[in-house]
Amino acid sequence: MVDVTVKVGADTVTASYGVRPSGSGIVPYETLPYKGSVSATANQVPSISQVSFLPGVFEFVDFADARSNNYGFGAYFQPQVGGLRASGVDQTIFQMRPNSSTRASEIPAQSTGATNNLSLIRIGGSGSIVRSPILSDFTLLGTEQGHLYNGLLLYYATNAQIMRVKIKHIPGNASSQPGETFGGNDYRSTGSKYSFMEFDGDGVGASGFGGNLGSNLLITDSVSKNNPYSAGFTCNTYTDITYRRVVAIDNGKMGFNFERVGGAVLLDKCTMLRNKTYHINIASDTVSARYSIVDPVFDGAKLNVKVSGFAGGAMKQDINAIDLIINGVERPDLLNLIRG
Amino acid sequence: MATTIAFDTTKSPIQMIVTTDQHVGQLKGTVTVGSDTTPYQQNFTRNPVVINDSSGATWKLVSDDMGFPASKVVYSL
Repeated sequence: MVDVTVKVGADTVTASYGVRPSGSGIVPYETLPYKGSVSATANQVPSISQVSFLPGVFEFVDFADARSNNYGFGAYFQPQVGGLRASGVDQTIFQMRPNSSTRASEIPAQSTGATNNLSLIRIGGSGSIVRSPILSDFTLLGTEQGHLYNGLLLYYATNAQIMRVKIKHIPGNASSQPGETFGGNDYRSTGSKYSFMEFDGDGVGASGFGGNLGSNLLITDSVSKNNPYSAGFTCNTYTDITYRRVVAIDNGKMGFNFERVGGAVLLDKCTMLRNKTYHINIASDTVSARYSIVDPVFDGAKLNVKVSGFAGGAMKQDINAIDLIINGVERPDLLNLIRG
Repeated sequence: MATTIAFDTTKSPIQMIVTTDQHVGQLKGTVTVGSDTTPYQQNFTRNPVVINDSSGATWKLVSDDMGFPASKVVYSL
């Protein structure tokens, strides 16, 4: 906690603030007996408890949790862990000890199209178990491991809340798997809410954020940047997505990517600058969504939206269901639909 | 009414809301906070609240409501 004293006229008032919450249901990590790793220590909490962390660097060694062939995590927080509540971005840092991975030989070749199933952190549920974790106020930092991997995996969650988290330097090298890794991956989850997030590819990332097989995603006041190999934000097989005041900048492909996305998609006051291909890419061979793009900030004369099929299948997206609205007025004249 | 402090940790950065019935302001080189009840005037300087943060962090003025008799001043880290 930090004390603040405020003097106004004759009044002097002191109060305290701290981003690390405390109270019922929140267990300070430092009070738990150390069990050899961050995850093993945290996983001792009674279900369902959040774990809070002081400022400092919390390291994992290797992708050793839940290990099987081409699968594993630096820290697998089991479903009894209801959240990770730390002390601030750049104050509490989770990372893998540099060059501690033994998994380089298990990374699939790009030609296989298989998935890279290594992530630094996994939290949420487990198949039939669905959880609602809360994550806040930390940095997840990629370190050199000699191979590609993913950052944060939110797994089988409902109404998860992730706020004020920076995910930085997660390495990728392609816009399709396995080289398309994710800084943050929202997997088979519904109702996830992300706010004040920073997905910083730091010149090595593929996609800053990726959502798969989920619904009702809300991301606000967040940025994805410096991912040279793929999109700022991408979702595949997802329904109902809202991005509000979200920035995609300096990414190697598009700012926002939608693959097989249905339902309603709203991009409200989003910024798309210096992304290398399109501002927005929509690719679907299965469903069509209603897209509302409201008051965007973009470079160039028009908003470039690529619309195509997916995976060799015919395009199912209705191009008449893509609306650009600026200051309350539909502006099809500023919408450049590029048929693929 | 006294001076109160509230923190909004849902914001990023954190915001601090100072609500006071003290006269929030400073007239040309003369400290007038406290007992001064002079209404708002053109040379009334804003952001007069003295803040000491034990972590050394600096708070920045976000907005103020100079209404009398009470004022609300919002700062962010």
